[in-house]
Amino acid sequence: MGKSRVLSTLVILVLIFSILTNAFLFGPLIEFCNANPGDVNESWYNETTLNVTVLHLQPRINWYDFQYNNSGTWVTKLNTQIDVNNSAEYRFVVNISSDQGWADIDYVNITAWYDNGNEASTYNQTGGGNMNLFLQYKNTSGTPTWSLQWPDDEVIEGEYTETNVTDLSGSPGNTECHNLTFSFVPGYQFRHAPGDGSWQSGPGYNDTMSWNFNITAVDQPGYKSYDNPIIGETVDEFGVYTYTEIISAGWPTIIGNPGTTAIANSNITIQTRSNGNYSLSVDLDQLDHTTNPAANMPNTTVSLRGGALTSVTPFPGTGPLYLYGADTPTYQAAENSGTSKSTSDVEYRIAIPLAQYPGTYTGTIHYGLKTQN
Amino acid sequence: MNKKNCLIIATLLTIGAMPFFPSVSAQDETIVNIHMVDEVARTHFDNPAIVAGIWHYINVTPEDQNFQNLDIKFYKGSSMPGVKNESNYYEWKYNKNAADPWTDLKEYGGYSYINADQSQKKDDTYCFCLGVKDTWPNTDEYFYHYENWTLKIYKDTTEIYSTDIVLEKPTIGLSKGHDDTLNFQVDPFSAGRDLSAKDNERDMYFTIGNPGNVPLDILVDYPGYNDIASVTNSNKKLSVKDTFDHYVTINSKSWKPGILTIPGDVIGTIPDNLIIPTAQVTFNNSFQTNAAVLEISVGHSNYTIEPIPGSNIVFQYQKDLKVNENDIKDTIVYISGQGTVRLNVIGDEVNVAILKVTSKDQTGTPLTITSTNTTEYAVTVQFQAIRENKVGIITYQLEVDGKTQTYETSITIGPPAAGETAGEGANIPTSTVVIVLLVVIVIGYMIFTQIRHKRR
Repeated sequence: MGKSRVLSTLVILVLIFSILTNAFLFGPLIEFCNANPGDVNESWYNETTLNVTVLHLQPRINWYDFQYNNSGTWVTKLNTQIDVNNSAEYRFVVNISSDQGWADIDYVNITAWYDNGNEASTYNQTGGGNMNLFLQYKNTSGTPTWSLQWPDDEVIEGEYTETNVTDLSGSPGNTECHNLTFSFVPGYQFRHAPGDGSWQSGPGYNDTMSWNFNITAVDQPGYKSYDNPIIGETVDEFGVYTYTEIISAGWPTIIGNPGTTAIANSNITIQTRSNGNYSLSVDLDQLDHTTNPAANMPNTTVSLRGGALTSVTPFPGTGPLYLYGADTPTYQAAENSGTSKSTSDVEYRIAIPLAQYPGTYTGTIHYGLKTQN
Repeated sequence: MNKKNCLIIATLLTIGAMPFFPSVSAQDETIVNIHMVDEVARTHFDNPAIVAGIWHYINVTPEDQNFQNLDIKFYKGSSMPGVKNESNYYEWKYNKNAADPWTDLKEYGGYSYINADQSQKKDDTYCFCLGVKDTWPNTDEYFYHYENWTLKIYKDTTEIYSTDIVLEKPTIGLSKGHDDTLNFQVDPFSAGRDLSAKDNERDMYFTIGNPGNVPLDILVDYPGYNDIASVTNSNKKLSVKDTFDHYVTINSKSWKPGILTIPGDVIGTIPDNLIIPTAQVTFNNSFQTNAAVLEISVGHSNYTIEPIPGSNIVFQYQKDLKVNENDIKDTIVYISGQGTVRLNVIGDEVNVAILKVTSKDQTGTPLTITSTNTTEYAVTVQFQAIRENKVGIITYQLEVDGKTQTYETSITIGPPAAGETAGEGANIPTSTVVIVLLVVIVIGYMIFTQIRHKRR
């Protein structure tokens, strides 16, 4: 055998050897592994994916978000709590594809409601403008219109936008895709929703004591986006911080003679705003003479009525009186409608003791409005 | 264009531009500043605002100081009322030569609407501390109610200043928003640490607003804990239409594990020196609402803290873990509080296998633990993740006073760690090597035979 054949034989041997080991390559082309058939009863190979684009008749909601307008920058607020103060602005953003062209889309409906601890609850199951929200995009006439269907006063309607975008997984020439935004400003009593203690990320109704929302697109034949078995329903949640506000105009003044019971010059109106269950208490300091430190009147000489406290009741001297709720604590149920509650029948009376030192007395009234957390 | 036309055009332009000139006339270059006591000047519809029932300063600085009396007239509307009363007319005077220079010329009901004690002359400025009675009803239709009034200032009998004023109904308000609970975390028995409230990386805080037109002194009170809770913007005055963000810092004490919940109050009170007494009994207003609840988790970071119901025992464990297949890991659970606990640790043995349970003085499970208030009892659980793409469960059964509570650690198992597969591949059994060698020899022999055959 010539030297060249010996050499080529060696090269062939080396190449065959290198197929089985990683002597000349970064890794062996053939690798021997061991497995215990009694230990492994199934085998998975997860490195490849099968991408299939299926075009459905139903409208497709590709993505969505719920966002807060943070000084012009919209930031997501899905599965977290938001502020409601009659000025903070929020919006829903929805990306929808229609494989029959956009004219096939008739409605896009967004409903939201406070679940009150029940994930099986539905929109408007518990009535009230502070518990429900319904935004609608209507495209039945060819000219789209937006509307805040509900509530009428408890939410301020915001701006709406529509933008044509491209759906890369759609059918060229057939599929049309739009981004729709629905903005709104929740009122003062938009229902408090603390969540269940920890917010679950991702879609679905998975946090009780939250606001649930559902986004649905409906096309001309009446097919709904949630009929699509792959996409399913577009549902998610957010929460709401408490908002508490108390306002009164002026303060009571009383003029009377010793030995008489004098009534304040006018009833006081207390306006409260609370987006949850609440209590309203009133307490009073001792009345002190403005110039004579020795002269005073205890708060037990003063009586109060108003709100749920329908009878004239003297201050006990040991704690507050409650216009709503009680000290236990017991709370008045949240106001399901309206942006404030006015209690206009708050009346103060004072039984001025005989021989009370004449002059001007002042004392501080303490109103306590608490929202159940 | 002749002179006459120019004059007409100039006159028309002047008349047309008049609405853009302020209504304040400055006949004597008099400088006037109007503001609530301890507040800055505020406008309403671009005119100075005065709130009824509240003391204000009207500071007057005439250019020409040559006078005996400064007279201020304040009346409803734009013309002097015919019948003057407390709801439409007030007049105050400064008399240089009088023993009591600051006087109210129109006291109503025996109450003076100038505060002579607080009025003073500073250099060339005459500071009148004065106000008007709130005569409107205290009903909600008068919230934020206002009227247009006129203020005129006279130097002796010469008018030197005039302006429109918006007189407002006093409306007092307090609002609370943003975080309802501020979360703190501190390791057990760690005293003297300054803790900030965090929600992931977000700083937590609550807001207090003043929607009214009267300033409020704000106090944030955490009864029993004010010595360790430091609150920004507490004990400060909240001006009209302003908002405070309140951040809380906790200086920790040596707490045992558990969850400490501290409720608090926010109190907003009209400063006493602002209200004008106008009757035998005049009430001040103070509003109170919830401050954010302080929730201090005393326990290990990223641990779930479970106070055992009906006992002093607190159990801490990791609720969720992520590991790779075949990993052997430790998770430590902690028991604290006074009492005896029987702890049993169980793996599901399908996805997670318990390899070892140890503590400072015991091995194996179940363990009987005598727990104390002053220390934590640590139990180390060593486990192995068996199957990838599965969730394994370690169950802890705690028996305290005859009652058993159950908690779980969920272990999400991923694929084997990178490199682990390669390492296993390199570990080729001897039998495999022999087979490979035999194959090589056979192929080599075939090639050799083929070459030799061709040679012949």
